[in-house]
Amino acid sequence: MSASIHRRRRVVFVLTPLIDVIFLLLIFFMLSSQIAPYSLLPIGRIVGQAAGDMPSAPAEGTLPSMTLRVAHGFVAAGEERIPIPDLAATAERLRGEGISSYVLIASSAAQVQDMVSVMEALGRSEAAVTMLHAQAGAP
Amino acid sequence: MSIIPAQPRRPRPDFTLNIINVVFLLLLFYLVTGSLAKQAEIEADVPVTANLPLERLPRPLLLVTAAGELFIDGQPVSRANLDAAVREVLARHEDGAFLNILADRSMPASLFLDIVARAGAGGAPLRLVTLRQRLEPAK
Repeated sequence: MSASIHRRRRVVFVLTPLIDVIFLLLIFFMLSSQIAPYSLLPIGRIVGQAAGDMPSAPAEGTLPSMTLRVAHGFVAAGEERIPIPDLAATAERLRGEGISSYVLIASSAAQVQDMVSVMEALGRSEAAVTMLHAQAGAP
Repeated sequence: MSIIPAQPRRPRPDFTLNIINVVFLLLLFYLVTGSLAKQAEIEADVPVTANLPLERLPRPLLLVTAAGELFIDGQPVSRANLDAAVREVLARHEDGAFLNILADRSMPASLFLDIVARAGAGGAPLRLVTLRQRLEPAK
């Protein structure tokens, strides 16, 4: 009987293929993944404003306490202009006066960033926000 | 033959395991913190917020480019078919899934609201994806 038959094979643990695969996975995830700090902002009710509708008349639910027209960098509440950075403090003050729901109307100059900043500021004072958008044919 | 006894051979340190440990940790980091994103989603100029909790880039994701083009999870969608496409994509996800909207921060708010109203026409819950940015301390 040959001695080589009885010789036990030595098991060698080869790490190189494992390292190769792990490196490939690492490079894939490094290149393809985003680790940007995202945040999610819930979008409240959106009500269409058809031609002739009054902006302060939502379809259902409680009547809004205040209507804000969002422009670029500020909101207009009636004749008063409130810079968006000051809106959180104003909303907090108005909350103390019993106003806790708002209707937002976007002016033609308003951008998405303005809407987001306004929603965030009003959300901090736990206000209910309804957004009004102009439907086709609306003024 | 030398009179001085030969020094015992020191085993050479093997750094392979250490390297694998570090690479594994990097891999885990990217797996846990990263979100796979498409090129257009990375390039979008996301609106910023300051006080919302951090999240990963969620799915399903409706990308609204500055030009008003729409993509749901990378697939182009026309504005007319948006409602149907949203229903279809939400049906593929678990109950209570939100449609997450990633819109360019500089796009007009009126156009954004029109798209959001179309996307939410079927009653889909909506969230807006923003980028959390630490506010500069007031000087």
